[in-house]
Amino acid sequence: MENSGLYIHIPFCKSKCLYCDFNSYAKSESWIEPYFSALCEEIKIQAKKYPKRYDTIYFGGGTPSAVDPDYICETLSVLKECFEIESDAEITIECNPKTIGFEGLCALSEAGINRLSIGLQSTSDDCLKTLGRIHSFEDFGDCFQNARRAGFQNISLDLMYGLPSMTLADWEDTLDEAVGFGAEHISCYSLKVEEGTPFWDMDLNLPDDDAVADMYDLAVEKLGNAGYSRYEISNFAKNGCESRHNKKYWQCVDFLGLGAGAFSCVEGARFSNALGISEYIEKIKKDQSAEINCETLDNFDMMSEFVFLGLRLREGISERKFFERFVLDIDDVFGEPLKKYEKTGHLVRKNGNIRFSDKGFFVSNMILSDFV
Amino acid sequence: MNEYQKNIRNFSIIAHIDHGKSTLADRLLEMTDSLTNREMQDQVLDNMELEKERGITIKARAVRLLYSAKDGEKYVLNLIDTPGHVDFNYEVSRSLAACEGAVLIVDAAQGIEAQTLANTYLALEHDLELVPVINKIDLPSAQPEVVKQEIEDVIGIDAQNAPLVSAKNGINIEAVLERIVEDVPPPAGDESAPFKALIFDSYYDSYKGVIAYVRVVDGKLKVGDAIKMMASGSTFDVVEVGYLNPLGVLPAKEIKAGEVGYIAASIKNVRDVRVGDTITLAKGGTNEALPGYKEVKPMVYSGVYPADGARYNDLRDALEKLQLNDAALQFDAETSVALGFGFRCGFLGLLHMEIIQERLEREYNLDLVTTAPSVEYQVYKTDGTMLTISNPTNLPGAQEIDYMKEPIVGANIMTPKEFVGSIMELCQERRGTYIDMTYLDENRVTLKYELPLNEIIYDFFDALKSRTRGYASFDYEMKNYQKSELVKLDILLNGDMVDALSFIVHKEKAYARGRRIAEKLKESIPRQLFEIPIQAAVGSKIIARETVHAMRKDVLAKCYGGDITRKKKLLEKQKEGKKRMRQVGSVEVPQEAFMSVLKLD
Repeated sequence: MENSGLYIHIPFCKSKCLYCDFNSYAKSESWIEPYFSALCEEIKIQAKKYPKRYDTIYFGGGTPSAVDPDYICETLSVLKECFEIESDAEITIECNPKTIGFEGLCALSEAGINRLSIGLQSTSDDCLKTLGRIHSFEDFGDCFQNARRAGFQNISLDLMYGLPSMTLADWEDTLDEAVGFGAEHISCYSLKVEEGTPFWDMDLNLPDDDAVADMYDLAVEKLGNAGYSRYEISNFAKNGCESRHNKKYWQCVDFLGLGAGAFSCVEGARFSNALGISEYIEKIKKDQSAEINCETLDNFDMMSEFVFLGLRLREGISERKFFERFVLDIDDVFGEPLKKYEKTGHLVRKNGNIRFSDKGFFVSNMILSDFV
Repeated sequence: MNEYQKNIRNFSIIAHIDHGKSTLADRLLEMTDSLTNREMQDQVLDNMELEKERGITIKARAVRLLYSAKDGEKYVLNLIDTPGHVDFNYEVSRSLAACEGAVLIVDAAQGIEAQTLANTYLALEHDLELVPVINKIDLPSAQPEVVKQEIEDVIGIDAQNAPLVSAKNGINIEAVLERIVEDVPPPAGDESAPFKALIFDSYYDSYKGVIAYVRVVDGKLKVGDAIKMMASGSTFDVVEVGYLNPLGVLPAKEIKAGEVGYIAASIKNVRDVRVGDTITLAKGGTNEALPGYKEVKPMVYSGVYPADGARYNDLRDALEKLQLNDAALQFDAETSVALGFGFRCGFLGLLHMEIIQERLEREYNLDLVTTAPSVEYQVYKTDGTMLTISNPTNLPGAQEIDYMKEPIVGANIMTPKEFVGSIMELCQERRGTYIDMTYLDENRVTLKYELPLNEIIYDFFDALKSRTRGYASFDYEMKNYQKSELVKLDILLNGDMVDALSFIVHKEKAYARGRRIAEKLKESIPRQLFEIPIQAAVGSKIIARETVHAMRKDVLAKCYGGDITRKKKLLEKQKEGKKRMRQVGSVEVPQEAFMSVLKLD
């Protein structure tokens, strides 16, 4: 059995970005202290319930770097005490430039965090302003250099394209500048305007689908030339620097989520924690558990997720693994759509492996929707 | 004439849309205690759900009201409600033929409008006594005196004594009843003559069979009598006769000259009870049928298919049930390569078509795909035979066709004179032939045109309304078939012909129409994984082309642990959306696309 992953949610932000629909809260500093004590409580409880081996830990948010690094270090040490964590575990923290300085980064590094995911989003200060980010491109540069000096050898950058008024040339500049830093990993996300965010109600001059597709193609090309290969629809890495934690999601490996609103998928059961900070704390105190929604996946759900998540990866899915997991031949379950899209050239089947062709990735919904 | 007959008044109510016809009918019912308050629901006469929603009367209804007038006498008032749309003109004319008078409602704020006039002329054609009533006097903008004058000037009837009412607020309703009693003549007719009655409506009752709504002209009829339908020739034994009250029927011993009532005779097929036909006795009946009977024939045809092929039988059952009450609805099974198994349905007109489709969807919970409406063409083949076709797919190859004929209607358009120019332009565009123009008065004009039916079935009425701000009214009647240069226009998607999108069009219009349809289809067909050429073709000649470019972006950029459930739902929704599409060759076509030819302007 593969090792599982741990996800820790830190729902605090200095301010909320205009496009963000994550479970995060600005101006809630007074909740930080009680939140972390509830979180440590949950860790202790869940560790007894799910005594598995874990080899990745991921601090996501929100903005985990927006709280005093001591909280993170303390949480990490509780995690290590309670769970069985592999010594070479990948331990990632998301970080927002301008929320953390050199000393803080040193503290995190010393505590054992070995991977940093920095939300750069754009190298244009105009774009950063449009997005409602609190940092400038220069702030990012400082943060990156500090991270290197603090000892981080595995750094990932997040970039966004398809932004209001963005042209292909703007995006090309962003890619060039970002590549220049020599990070190990780059994620590129096309902006999706979600209901309930300030962007939803704004009159944005968004590039059309064709323009966004051009931006994606450009990212694949430029990042590829710079030594980053696309290993997932939106993720690019230098050799050996793929995110081990995130790959668990796409390979349907179990993961346990801790903290407000965190999702878990363990042994065919998926559950999530209470969303709000106070609600989460209350539930931990009262019920010794923050779980609110629990669904049991039936066999078809699991097969369908195995396919639609697995195909997000460049490596695709293995017919053998499908059979080992479900004791069914994949063609007996999904023969029809597989054949259809092999014929159209959107899927490639080779040596017992099924994956997207280059032209399949960016229209993958059209294809994946035939597998649910 | 006997004493009883003297106290009968048969009347209908005519009005422009929204001038308050149904509301006044409700008030009349209340005033005459025909209903208790508990039974009274708004607009009792329009009891089909669809009628209430659209605010139109689809099928004629009749009610019998008892009224004690100020002269101390008791009167029987038969109110015969009429539909108000050109599709149902024949039914209206039969309803009016059953009356001696008509209450003409005019809105005190709006005054006379297009339909007011159209209906007035229809009533005058039947020699009805008009009782003008000015409604909505409660409105601040009401100008009853101005409207009175307008009625006198434009229609030429005395309106000085017209009751000023508010149907909504129940003001002065009694005056209306008094005027009906005073002004509408009692029915003529001889009770001792052989029985003769006019059928003005019918409906199907699952226990009693088809019920005929009739106006008795002469004689009387009782249970046990043998009757004959003069047009169809079929005979039946009467099992029940009676009167129509607002909530159903009221059986009686007999019905006689001058009365409005119903006849039940275990009639199985609604086709045996044709609106406009004359009922008489099987033995010793009259030989002279009442004038004005016409066989109602569909004018417009359309393919109706279940969106889910598995519901074909449900659709057939639903059509059969609707047909029980609607002799004008016809249907025959047909097959389409694109749409599978379905029916070619014949309708009186576009509104009738919409109503049937809507009832199928609502009352029978069916999801439908319908093709563009067509008319019936006559194809004269080179081998000397003639073929009538209502489905363009059945048109033989060009080399087999000698010539074709299309149905032509005579259209009357009544309009204020300032719109004459734009109406003439419209008729010109629709291949109309100008026949005549007459001034009704110094402001109003009647234009007569001959128009090909296939030019008016799509959107002529809408175009007319928008060019005349709703002031023009329009009716038409079938005239004849005329030779015409017609071609079949085919649509190809990704190189495959889509039979359900083919239609017949005049040669000179094919190019423009083809181009517009290609453009419309481009809007309604979503981008797919490959490029889709849309072509319009006449024979083997491509006359228009558009392209739906291949989809390039349809992706979930982010999908991590917390996103999986939500993203899976999105994919499931997308899959549902695909299910609602029709697979035509390799192309997925949304259902609306098949109707896109309807909305070209």
